[in-house]
Amino acid sequence: MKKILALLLAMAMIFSLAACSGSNEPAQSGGDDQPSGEPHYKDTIIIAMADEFTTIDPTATTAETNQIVQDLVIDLLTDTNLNTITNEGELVDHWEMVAPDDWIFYLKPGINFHDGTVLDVDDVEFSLMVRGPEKSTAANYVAKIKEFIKIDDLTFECKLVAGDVDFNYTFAANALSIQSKEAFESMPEEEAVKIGTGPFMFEEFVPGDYVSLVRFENCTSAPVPNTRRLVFKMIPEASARMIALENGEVDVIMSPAATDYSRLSDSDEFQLLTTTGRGQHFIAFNLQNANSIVSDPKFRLAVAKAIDKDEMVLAAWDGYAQVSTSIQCRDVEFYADIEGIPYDPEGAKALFEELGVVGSTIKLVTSDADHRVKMAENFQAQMAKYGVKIDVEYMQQSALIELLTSDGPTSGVELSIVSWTPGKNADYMYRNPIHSQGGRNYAHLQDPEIDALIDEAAGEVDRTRRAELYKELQEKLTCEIINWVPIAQATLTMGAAKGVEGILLHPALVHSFKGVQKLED
Amino acid sequence: MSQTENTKDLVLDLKNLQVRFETEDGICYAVNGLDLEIERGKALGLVGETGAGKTTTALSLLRLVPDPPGVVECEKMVINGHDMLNISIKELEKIRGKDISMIFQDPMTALNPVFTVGDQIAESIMLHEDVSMADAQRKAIDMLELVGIPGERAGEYPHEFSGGMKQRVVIAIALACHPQLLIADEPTTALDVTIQAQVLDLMRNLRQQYQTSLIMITHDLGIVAEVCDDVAVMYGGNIVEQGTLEDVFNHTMHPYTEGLFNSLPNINDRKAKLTPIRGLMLDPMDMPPGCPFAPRCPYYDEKCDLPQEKKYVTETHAIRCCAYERPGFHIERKER
Amino acid sequence: MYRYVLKRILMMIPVLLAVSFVVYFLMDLAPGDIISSMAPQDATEAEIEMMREELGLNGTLMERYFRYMKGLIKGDLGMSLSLKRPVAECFFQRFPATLKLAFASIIVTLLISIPLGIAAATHHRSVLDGVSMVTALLGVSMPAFWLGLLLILALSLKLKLLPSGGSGGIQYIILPALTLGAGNAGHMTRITRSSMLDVIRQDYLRTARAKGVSEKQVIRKHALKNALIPIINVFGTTFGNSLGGAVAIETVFAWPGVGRLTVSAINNRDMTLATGCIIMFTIFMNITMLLVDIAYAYADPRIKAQYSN
Repeated sequence: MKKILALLLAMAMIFSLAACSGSNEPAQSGGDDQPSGEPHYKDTIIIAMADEFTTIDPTATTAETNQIVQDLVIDLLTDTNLNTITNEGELVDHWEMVAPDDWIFYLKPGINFHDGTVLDVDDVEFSLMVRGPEKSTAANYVAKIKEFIKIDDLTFECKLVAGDVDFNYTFAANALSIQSKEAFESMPEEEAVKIGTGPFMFEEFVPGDYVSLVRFENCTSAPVPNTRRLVFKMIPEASARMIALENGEVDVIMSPAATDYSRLSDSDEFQLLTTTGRGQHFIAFNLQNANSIVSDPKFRLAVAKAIDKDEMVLAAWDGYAQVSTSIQCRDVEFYADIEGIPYDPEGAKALFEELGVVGSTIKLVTSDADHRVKMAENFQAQMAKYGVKIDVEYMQQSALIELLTSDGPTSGVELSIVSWTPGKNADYMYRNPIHSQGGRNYAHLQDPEIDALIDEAAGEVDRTRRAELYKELQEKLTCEIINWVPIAQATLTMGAAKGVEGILLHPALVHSFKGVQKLED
Repeated sequence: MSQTENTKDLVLDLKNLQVRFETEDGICYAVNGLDLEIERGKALGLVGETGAGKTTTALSLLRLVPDPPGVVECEKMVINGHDMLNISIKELEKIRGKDISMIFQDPMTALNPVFTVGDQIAESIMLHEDVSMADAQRKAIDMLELVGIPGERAGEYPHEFSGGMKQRVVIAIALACHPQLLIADEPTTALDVTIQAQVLDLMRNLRQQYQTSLIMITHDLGIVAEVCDDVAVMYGGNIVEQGTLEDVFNHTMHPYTEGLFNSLPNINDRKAKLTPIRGLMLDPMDMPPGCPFAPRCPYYDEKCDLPQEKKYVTETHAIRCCAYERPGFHIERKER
Repeated sequence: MYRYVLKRILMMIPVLLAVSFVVYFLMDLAPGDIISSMAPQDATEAEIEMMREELGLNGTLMERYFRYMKGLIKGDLGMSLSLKRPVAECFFQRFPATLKLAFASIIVTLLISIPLGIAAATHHRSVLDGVSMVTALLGVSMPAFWLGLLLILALSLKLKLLPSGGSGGIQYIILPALTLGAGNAGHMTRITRSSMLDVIRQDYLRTARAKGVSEKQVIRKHALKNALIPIINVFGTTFGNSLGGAVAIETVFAWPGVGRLTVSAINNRDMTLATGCIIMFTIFMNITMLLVDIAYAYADPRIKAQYSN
């Protein structure tokens, strides 16, 4: 009978605990606060995220999930305009490049912070030069600034350590978000970090569960949103997200499962939003592996000819991807529409035979992510037709990166399937993954000519000349050196209920929800 | 026991008890047409080898024979005036422990390890008497004292007692509600001899105090001699010889009973070889049509293959043996 | 009895030391490190080095481990590398959710498995027995993941009775508790049944019946109390395991518990958070087992006698 007592006690505990937490429930919908006669907008929009939101502090991590939310609360000096995919001023009105190493920026006047203060150069100086150098995510960027000069309350000058024709892009780094100096002086750091100039204010965060934001009524950096409240719910399981959307529990879902695409696009109740992602998915060769056939440029040419990219795209993304012809991403500045290496099975066959690789086995490493597995399997199948056996090894993402960045000649890596998502400017496309000094040079390319091209293009002021240089880079890398065989840029998707508008998809996953709203009838 | 029982005050009146166990491997005939009468205050020794059907008979009286596979049938079963064949489960539960109770063979496993000794006795009292919990506890302590265990130990658990003491507790439980009939199934088999004597003494005293009738199931003839007034010898699911102590011990008639006595070691003749009963034990699945002892009987003839009938030789002494129809027949064991 | 409890608490210490050691070293041995998942793609060597220092990841393995242990001995679990908050804070923010789910699911398990197990045992070899055993087998074989999604589809999507995930009021806990509880019930039912079967054979039940105790009481009072003894043990381990966070359930139902936190910490190679979570789990598991053993003693007086010696 003590057992029954214990049971009852436990039940009582559950009920009381559950009752206490009842207040955590995010509101599904509320009334409207618009006067009648004007269009009514849904009070709260709920967005289901796949990954976890961990912190409001922009200098803490670079995870895209965090950035999406932080973007709504805290602004940057410059940012990518998602409609034109060019870098524009966000808090900055315009700028002047006096010289590649001397820039002047003019702030927009009357920008309000959540704490009531107004944006001025003191806030910028504090964010960049006081907080910046202490944070590893920001330090490298602010290290470019040799001297920060305040000209007046809304104007400042940056003298750089080295010339950088794309310096404005630097301010689009999330770690360089502009915070309120006054806030940091009057509040503890955890609270001050929440103060920004964005159209939404931080409301509540329950780790692992959801984060909610409320409209900033006095926002001047962007139009005051029509939606009063945004809730980002964390639902890790794709099917659960879809069900939540179908149930009406959420209005938007991120990263829908590929199997749900048709359901979303064909239905009257839902919509499928798409954009080409800025991630280049490719097959990389380890150029430094002297023992492997992959170090032979002829072999690499053969592989480039051998792959039917359309087939691979169908296998890995159900067709939801854009085939790449050039090593550079399409939406990165100075993309050149080169011919690349077209699909040529006959030519590939001849080359493989000439090389004598028919019947041999070559190793491929990649991560266990779903699309990579499918790419690897498809690659295996395609290469098998030429009599070349591909041995695939799957590993965890971080283990893969560690392997690929280890010493080229001794790592034993032959082939790999990876991806590279550049941000910002064209230099980003080449600096880390292709330059011999780069930290993500998976192909271990050591070519002084290429290095010189990259450096020259980065510093070239004349835009026409720059375009020529980048075209040359693309042709050399895609058609001659073939350190990578670029396959495709995957389509990024989002699902939403019909009637939800104002979402801007970002090719590098930092989607903008600033204008998300839903008309209610 | 006599041929005309109407005037006797019977605590148990049992006619034609048949128990069989229907299993996948065949039917086991455990009890085959057994009759039994116990007078108030008398003690009967139910003797026989293992497998003779003694325990099954006892369990049938309490309706404790496991229901699949056991099938119990009988013509008449009256315990202390209750017609056991036509009562409900509820009434049966009232009778168990109150009119008739049973002591089992192994005291080590007869007590529930998670309840105190006092509680287990008190439970019996609470079931059958209309008293409060406190009163029942007090009575339980009295019972413990009665069986020779200090009352303070009522709050202890069975594992804290020795084998002999556990058996005393079992006796206390059985006698707590002063039943008219007590069935003791080999109560001392699991105990050593000195404790055995104590327990038997105790049982004798309690019987005298409460005038309880007793069925003492045992294979030990010595115990029968000490404790019982009457004896019934069982073989193959039926009683082959029954009578007073004097009848069966000194005027033995049945060949099986003779065999039992013969197989007792003789303390006076230590060197003599033991004479077991020849042949193998009976297989209750494979019952012979006539006398169950026929395959082993030294006096066998063809008449033995016919079903045997119970015959009264004197007013108290009855046997089932057709050999006595032969003129002048007697077993070797002589009158004493 | 008190000495026994004290002894058990003291024994936890070497266990925790061993666990922290093993986890820390295993995580370090695993290829890949947290920097690669946290640093921006265009990070330079200098930046990465700075990040390492910021997170306390510089130095050799032994140096790092001793730094960690120095804090641990004082009761400081350190800072989470990926979340930049104290590990204890991260853990205890999510632990109540796990605790709630563990309680709710164990109640579901008990409500299903005890009656079913008893019924199966008392009707041994009947249709009821067969049906309950098949059901138990199903419970053991069904992946929690699958059952969870099925329940969501049925009860949330089709019937619109319950929300599909998240936390909040009591309606949010029903489906995850059902899923986790039913999954565990399979195992518990079998244990209950076999424990009851053992007890039903016992002589002391016959004694009880001979006393005139009704059959219902024989089962409920006399048999059950004995049968529950081994069940308590299984109950304890099941509950203790749920305290580690049922990761599959948490993922499917978006339940903000500790399981997901631990798994993502391990995947991200967040050494302090992962080690901290596992240590906390070890502590809670140990406490649960201690409570189980104490309950054991109260259920079975023979065990209590052992402890007091």
